Amino acid sequence: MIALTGNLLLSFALLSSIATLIFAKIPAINAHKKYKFACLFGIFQFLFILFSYFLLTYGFVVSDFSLVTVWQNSEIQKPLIYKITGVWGNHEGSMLLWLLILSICLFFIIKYDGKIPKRVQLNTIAIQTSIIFAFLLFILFTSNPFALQLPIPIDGVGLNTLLQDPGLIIHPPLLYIGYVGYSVLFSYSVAIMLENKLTDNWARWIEKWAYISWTALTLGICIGSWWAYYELGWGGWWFWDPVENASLLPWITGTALIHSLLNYKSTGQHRDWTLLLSILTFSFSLIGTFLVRSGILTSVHSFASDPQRGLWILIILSFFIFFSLFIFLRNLQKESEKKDFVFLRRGTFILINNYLLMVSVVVIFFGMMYPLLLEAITGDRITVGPKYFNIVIAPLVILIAILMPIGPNLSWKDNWTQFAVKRLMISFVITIFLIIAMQLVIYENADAFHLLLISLAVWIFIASIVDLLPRNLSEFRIEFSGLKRKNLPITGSRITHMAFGIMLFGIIYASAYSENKDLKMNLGDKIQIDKFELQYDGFGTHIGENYDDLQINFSLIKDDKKIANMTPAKRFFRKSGDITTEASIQKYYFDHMYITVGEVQEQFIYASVSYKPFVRFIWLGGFLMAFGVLFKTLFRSKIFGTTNA
Amino acid sequence: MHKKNNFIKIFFFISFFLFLSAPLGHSVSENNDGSLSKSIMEIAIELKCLECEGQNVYESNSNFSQSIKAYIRKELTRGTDSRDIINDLHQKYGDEILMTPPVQTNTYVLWMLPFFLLSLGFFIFFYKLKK
Repeated sequence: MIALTGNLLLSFALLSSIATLIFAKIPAINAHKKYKFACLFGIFQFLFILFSYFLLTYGFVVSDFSLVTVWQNSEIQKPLIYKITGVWGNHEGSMLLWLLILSICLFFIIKYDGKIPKRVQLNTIAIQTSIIFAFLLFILFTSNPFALQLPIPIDGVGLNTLLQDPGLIIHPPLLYIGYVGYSVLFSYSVAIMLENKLTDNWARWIEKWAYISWTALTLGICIGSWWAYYELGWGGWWFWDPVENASLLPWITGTALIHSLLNYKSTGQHRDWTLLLSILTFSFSLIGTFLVRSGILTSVHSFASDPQRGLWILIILSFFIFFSLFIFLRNLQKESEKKDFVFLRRGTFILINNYLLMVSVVVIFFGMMYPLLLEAITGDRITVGPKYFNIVIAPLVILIAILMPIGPNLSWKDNWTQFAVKRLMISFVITIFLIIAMQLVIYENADAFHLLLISLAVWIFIASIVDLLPRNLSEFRIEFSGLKRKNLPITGSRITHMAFGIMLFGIIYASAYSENKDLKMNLGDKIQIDKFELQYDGFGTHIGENYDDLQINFSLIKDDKKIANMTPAKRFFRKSGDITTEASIQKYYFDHMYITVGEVQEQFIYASVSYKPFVRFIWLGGFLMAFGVLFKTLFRSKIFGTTNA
Repeated sequence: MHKKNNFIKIFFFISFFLFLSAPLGHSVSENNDGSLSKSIMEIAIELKCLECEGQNVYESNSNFSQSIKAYIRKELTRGTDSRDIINDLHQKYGDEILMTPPVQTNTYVLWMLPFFLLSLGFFIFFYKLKK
């Protein structure tokens, strides 16, 4: 029953998308009617896809094993929350979620972007619909979540055990909102390119999409990284895994896009480059999907990969990339205004930012693909692991970190001002004194390279805060009495820059000064790690809903006082017989004590213990970055519009 | 111009302090209880598990990784240098086992590209600035 209805709903969605395309492009009827019908069928697409999504969720909740997808990825015993979120814990369901978000975006374009000229909006709707159409075909023909099987099995195979985790609830949807949000920018950009004589400042229309997608993608990546940190069991937070890279590439181009949009909005320069960036960003979202789902690149995110699906996505992505590039090249505007290249200007720094970010994109992408290329050409097999990426990205990050605080202090039009110099000097001096103070207080074995990197992180942090200070006392009063409207979006940007400093600090500090130990411990053994002692107290059990835990008890001791119990565990899933390792993480200010347990015997255990100073800064910084941009998004709107006198 | 002079002065002053403060940190003392295992991790993290998908030997629990880890433990207890252990495994299993590709003929492009792009950027930048 569910299978049939689901297939019908998806087919109706397909028909609606065809109808939207016809109405959007048919020349016969008048413009008003065209627009009305295209919008109507656009909303139909959204509703049909929404219902089919709810239906699949219902299938998971009632454990309807006549659906192959439900049977393969669920079981009766599974906790309810994982039945609901398990919908996107597999290939078919996650593609349906992808489609759902595409159609939600379409809905928002139709409903809430009414101020944009109708012609542009109609083209945008048409392009967005064609993306939906392509993915609907893909889902119906290669990854149908409503595929039927008879006879109906009694119980399901069960969810991949690594996925039964709170991370699954929130990580994929956020990531997909990010990826798919960029489809809107793609659609708008192509529509804008089609309008050659467009004089409006279109950057204003699309910047909110750039911010929202970026925020979601940032949060998605952060949560993914946090999830990997505690679940994969050895305390790494970034593995340069192909799937991670696939999310990092659109993130970097998305970051470049935000800056380029700011530049275009303020100076009207680099229109084509900005449009190209938004095409690129969505293209990287598609390429990432293709690489992961086709099984071309292998990764710990093991989706059931299938070459046929890969072929489909390859066709879809080539079509959209070539189509958009074709339109892009045909509508290139020869920017005739003279561009005098002045070093100390904000626009120049944004160009440098874009160059450095694009170099990182090329380098990461090339590093990902190189083993494949090499094997195809010469047959040699090599591995390009995390260290390679760290080595080649480090100089880029250093350059970015040096320049990052300078750019925002400069003006768009005038040259370098005395004022900017003064501010940067203040920041520089504060930074240096902080670093010296830190060296004196926290005794760490700092080598020059890490000290330089840490100083850079502090430099970004301090300069962003100093940049927020008002220029003089009268401004100070205005700012804190009426929350000067003009300054709020700038506050958002500075928070994000500051947060990047925090994240960088965490990354460098935790990688340089972590202490790791792999130990064999007998009952009652005590070990020393950094300023703590850790004692092994024995083990116990804990019965979960569909799993049993073997918990190993540790006491964390500081200055002869017990400050926490830590209980890493081995988790046995009853149904599948899988065993996962559950890390135990104890926070201490911004640091983490991280324990996982290997082999457990009656007399002794193998434990892996790490002390990671300032590791929490990584996620704190990440979330704060997202918050800053969200803040900017909220206050760029009309909320403070006319009320502020 | 007065300002600029001050800037340079302060810059040198601060750089001086930076260099002074660099060796101020105390070195972390090594405990002997974990030292052997620690180098197992350091070696294993550099090796790719050839049976798994995108995992290194340290984080994986496959048969392959277990045997490699056992081998590393054995060699370390015999006092073999960690570089020699990696070299032996490299000899036996080929380039693929190294997480970081060695710099050699078939990886020159891989290693040079980032630095080429970066220098290209510098070149364009100073060329434009001069104009």
